[in-house]
Amino acid sequence: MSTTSAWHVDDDALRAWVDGTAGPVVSISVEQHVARCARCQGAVATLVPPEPLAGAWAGTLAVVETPHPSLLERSLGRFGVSTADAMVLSAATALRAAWLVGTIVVLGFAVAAPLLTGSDGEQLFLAVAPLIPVAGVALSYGPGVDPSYEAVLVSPYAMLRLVLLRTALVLSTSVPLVVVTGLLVPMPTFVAVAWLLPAAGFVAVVLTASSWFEPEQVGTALALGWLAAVAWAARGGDPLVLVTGPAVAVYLTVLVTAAVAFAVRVSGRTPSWRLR
Amino acid sequence: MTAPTVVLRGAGKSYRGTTALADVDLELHRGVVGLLGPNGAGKTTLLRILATVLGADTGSVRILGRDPAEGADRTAIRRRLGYLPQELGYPGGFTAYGFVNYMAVLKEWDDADARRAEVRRVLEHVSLDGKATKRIRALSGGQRRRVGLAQALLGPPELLVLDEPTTGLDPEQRVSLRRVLAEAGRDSTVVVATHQTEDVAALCERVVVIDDGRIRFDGAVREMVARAVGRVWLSHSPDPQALTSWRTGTGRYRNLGTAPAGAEPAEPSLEDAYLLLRGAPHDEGVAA
Repeated sequence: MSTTSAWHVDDDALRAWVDGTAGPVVSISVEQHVARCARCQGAVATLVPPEPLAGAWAGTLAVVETPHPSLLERSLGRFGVSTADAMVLSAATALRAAWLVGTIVVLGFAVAAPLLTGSDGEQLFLAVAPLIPVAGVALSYGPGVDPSYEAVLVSPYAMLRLVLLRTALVLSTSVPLVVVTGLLVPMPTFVAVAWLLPAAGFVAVVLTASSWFEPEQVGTALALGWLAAVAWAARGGDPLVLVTGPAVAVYLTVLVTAAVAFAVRVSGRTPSWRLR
Repeated sequence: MTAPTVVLRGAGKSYRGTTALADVDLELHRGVVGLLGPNGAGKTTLLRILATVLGADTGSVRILGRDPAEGADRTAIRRRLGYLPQELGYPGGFTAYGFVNYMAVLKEWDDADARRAEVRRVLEHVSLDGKATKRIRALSGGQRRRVGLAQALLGPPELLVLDEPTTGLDPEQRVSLRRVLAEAGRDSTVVVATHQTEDVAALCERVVVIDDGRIRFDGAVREMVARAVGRVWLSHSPDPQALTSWRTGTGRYRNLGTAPAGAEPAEPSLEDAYLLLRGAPHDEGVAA
């Protein structure tokens, strides 16, 4: 919109208006004129420095492009966890989504089935309880589940750190959940925590064996072995034999052996290429 | 002459009884090197060794002056390395910017402003700055590959290892990529494994041909092409004496091998030289 009016805003008033130092009366007058006058619009353009606009654009772009930290990242940040650690943990949740859903379904079933049928729940509970953290750990890292594995492996961020952090996250979320579920299942109370020892052994085996094999392969093998053991114990009449007596010594041996082997595989001059 | 970026002496690697690499001697300096070879030749294994994904079973490997078999040295190498694996996927939910930002964090770009500038720089380099906020799963195959290339360019790295970077790229994008790599090759060592001989011809002064885990040729591209002079000819129908022949766009046949007397010669391309090298018996393989 332009006007052929002979009067135009003088330079001083225009500059004052652009700088924001013109009084209210002058500002209104200048604004109303500039809105209709192409020549004065051009004059304004020469007075406004481009840098603030470029800065505003860059700032807007920064807000739009930078991904908003997830709820997990923000929560971890509040506890002083570094950006790198928080992002590594957050990226794992995408990998673990199926595990989380499966966990809820399986635990729900472990509680509901014995309550509905009126039978003891220890067999079903023992079958699934140790496998939940094992599955969670096995599905949180490694080339089979993480499509970005190779790129992440060759970044300076230590793969070992990634593995241990994700394992800690899986255990800290799954262990309380399974224990609480166990307290709801109709069975001797100690079973709600007795599964922890075999679970610890299995997780240690997954971590150690992942220095040779893919973790989900190890997890699958352990799961099949455990289910077979539970079925065998149930056929013998007493599933609790898996968490009492000599079985305890077996789990302790497995745990200690795996832990030592893990330490050997990740430290020293030539650590495992899959974990370091 | 500056120290070489990479030195391999007698390097070998086997998987479950199969020899993927045998007795590889290789020295790399600044510039762009093309790695040519058929599937299963050992290209990816060699690149994985350079990228510190794997260790060699035999021989010695030195990358950026360090021994990747030692834990602390491996991390030091990785700080100066960029790698695009042959297959790179992205955990769900990432945008293009988000994934490159994630990799930048893992590569120790701790300062948020500097990291932002670096992520924008590499996304602009691969012409993805306009798609930075798109979810990766909504991008095309070629665009996804460029996200992977962008994260490899963070640094910029002194050693850039790219396994089939042109997969899924259309011809214009390939030309654009050649520009990016040529620029990178001025200050860094760039190793590109590819099937595309025309990319090697356009981009590399040096080519390494690998087959069956062994190096069959290591030298200048023009030298490899020169070996094919006199061994490429045209005819109206496929010549039974040729090692191989195929119909060209003009309707005539291009033949490779020992040319019969009076045959109409054709100027050899790198592809011709590569096919002739592969067709030759294995004991003819020579390092220049």
